[in-house]
Amino acid sequence: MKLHHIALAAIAAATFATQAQAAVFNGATTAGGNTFADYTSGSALSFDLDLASKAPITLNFTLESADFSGDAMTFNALVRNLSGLGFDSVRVSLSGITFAAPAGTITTDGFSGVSASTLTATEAMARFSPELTSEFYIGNPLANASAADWTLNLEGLKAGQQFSVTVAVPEPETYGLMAAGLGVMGLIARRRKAA
Amino acid sequence: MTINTHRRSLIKGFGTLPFVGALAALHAREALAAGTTTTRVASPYGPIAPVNDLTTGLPLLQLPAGFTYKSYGWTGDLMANGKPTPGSHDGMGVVATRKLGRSTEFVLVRNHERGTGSDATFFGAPGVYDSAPSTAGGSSYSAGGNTNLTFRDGNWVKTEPSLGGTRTNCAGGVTPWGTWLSCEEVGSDSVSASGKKHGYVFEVTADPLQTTGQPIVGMGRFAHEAAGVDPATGIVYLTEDSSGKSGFYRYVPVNPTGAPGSLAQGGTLQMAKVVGQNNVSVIGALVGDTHALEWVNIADPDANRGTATGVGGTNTISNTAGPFRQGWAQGALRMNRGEGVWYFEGKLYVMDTSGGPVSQGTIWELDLATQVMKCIYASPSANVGTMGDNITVSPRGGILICEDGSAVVDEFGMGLRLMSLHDDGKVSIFAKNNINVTAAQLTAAGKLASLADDHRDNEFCGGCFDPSGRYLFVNIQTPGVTFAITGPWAKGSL
Repeated sequence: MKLHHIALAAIAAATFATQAQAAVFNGATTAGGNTFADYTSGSALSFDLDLASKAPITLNFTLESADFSGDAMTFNALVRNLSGLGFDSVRVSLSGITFAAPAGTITTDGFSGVSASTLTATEAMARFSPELTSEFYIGNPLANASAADWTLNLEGLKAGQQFSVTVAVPEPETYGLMAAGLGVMGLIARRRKAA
Repeated sequence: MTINTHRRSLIKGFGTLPFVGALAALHAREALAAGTTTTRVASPYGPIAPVNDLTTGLPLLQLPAGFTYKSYGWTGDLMANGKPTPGSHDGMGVVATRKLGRSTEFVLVRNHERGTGSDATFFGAPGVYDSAPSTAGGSSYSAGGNTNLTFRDGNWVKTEPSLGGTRTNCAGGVTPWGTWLSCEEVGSDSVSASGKKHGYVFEVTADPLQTTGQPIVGMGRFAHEAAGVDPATGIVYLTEDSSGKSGFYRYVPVNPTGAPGSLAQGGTLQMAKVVGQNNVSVIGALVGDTHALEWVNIADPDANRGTATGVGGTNTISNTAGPFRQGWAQGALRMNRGEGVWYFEGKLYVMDTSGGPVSQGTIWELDLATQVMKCIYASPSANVGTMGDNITVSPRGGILICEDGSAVVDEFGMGLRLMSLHDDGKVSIFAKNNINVTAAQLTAAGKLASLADDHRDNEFCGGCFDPSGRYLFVNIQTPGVTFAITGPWAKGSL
């Protein structure tokens, strides 16, 4: 079987089931043989991501009225690195929605550690040391005492609006640039708030 | 060469496509020049250096940059049943992968190559074969057996005993139906006080409570080493570790579909013979040596030992196992010391630990469809490879060799090694035993102080990968430790 056929088969095998109690899941976009499985339950958006490559994976959602009447919407993901190559860092970015306090966690299975992390309203980043080759956890997909899910802020949003969550594995050299960029954004935000 | 299309298909097993980048860089095993020996080259993973264990903090292994590991299941560590873990860790395999909610759990079965001892509880194993002492009224019992290990979400969870009352469980092999074949390496006709013989194969299940402790007598009684199952036919290939008089066997089961217990339903034991030639010794093989095989039936797989006489009344060998004696009389071949066996993609890889021009080891690749075996590795020196024992094949098709020779000294110091055999036939050092610990260090780590010593000359064994290829599990037999290793595997052939 040729490689791209295998990739298509793997993508087709991914679970596309949608749970009606949370935001409507409109599917994911990715490449490089990456796949996902949807474990969403209630107001918790929960996914397992199997990354066969460093290609980003974007999960797309539509808000519905039920999302505004119940518990806060949370997000977690278990991310397996099946690429055979080290992940220097991970970036979780939001589009059309923001993170709410308190912030969640990014943790690992212990073979690597999180050596640094940054956070803005729409982006969370973590750097691994040594480079991660097994798996990590965005939020608390395995119900560990030391981890916490991320909460998504619904303020100002309406049913029918769309948002997305992108999990990306930046190349090592980009982490510094991104961290610097996030720092600048944070500085600007603080100045605006002070003004 | 286009062999890699087959390798790629195997990697689908974990539900996705790992290591795509590595595959593109891999080459099929190139045509190896006949009559040569293997050469060692610098590792594509880079040089190795001591790395601290994430469990104990001790520098137990030398590994390439980017690789980390967690030790577990040390000799003496308390198991789930409260009894201490038996020592002499040996062959091992991943027999089950299961999902618990979103968790992924691997079950490994681990051999303990122990002969006899004073423990009449058999470390609490539910499946006990021989509960009698070696001699009537004695206090020496069969001390070998198996323990099952659980590894969940990158962390070790528990150890449970499964098989006891057996002896010298050296290596074995995984079955396609999710069990482990545990092989007694016993070359003796002695019987225990209850009249039980040893030198059999036992089936161990992922659920320890389902392990029966009953031998599969039809698979022969000899110094078993390892087993490999051809999933296409259900035939089990078996090695014998008996210096200079080791047969290469296979067991053709009456039930080829395979399920726990199916091998015990009966079958025919056969011994390999070179087509058109009698009593061939493949001991001094060089890379490229090739033999077409046929198989002769062993009428009595439980026969006692005796002198073997070859075809025509020549080639007499004393004190051989009963099955060897019968096969040799029909012209079967012999290896020096058959050791590790691993099935991968239609081929069976077989280690003759003392084969080759200087008795430092050869590896045979048996094409199961054509029944032609070819020597793909022959060590010319201990520095290149010293008496490889257990072998495994990674999900990417790279062969890992666990060394069991003398304490080799190379550019990274003294210590036995894990070697990777590349597609081009060359080998390189992947890891090195670095266990040289004091009683104080072990006590601080919560381990038995009595395990303190310089163990760098003790063998690696039991190497096996999880189905996703992220974790290599491997043992160091003495002091008895199991490791889970992860790292950027795609940088090399493993």
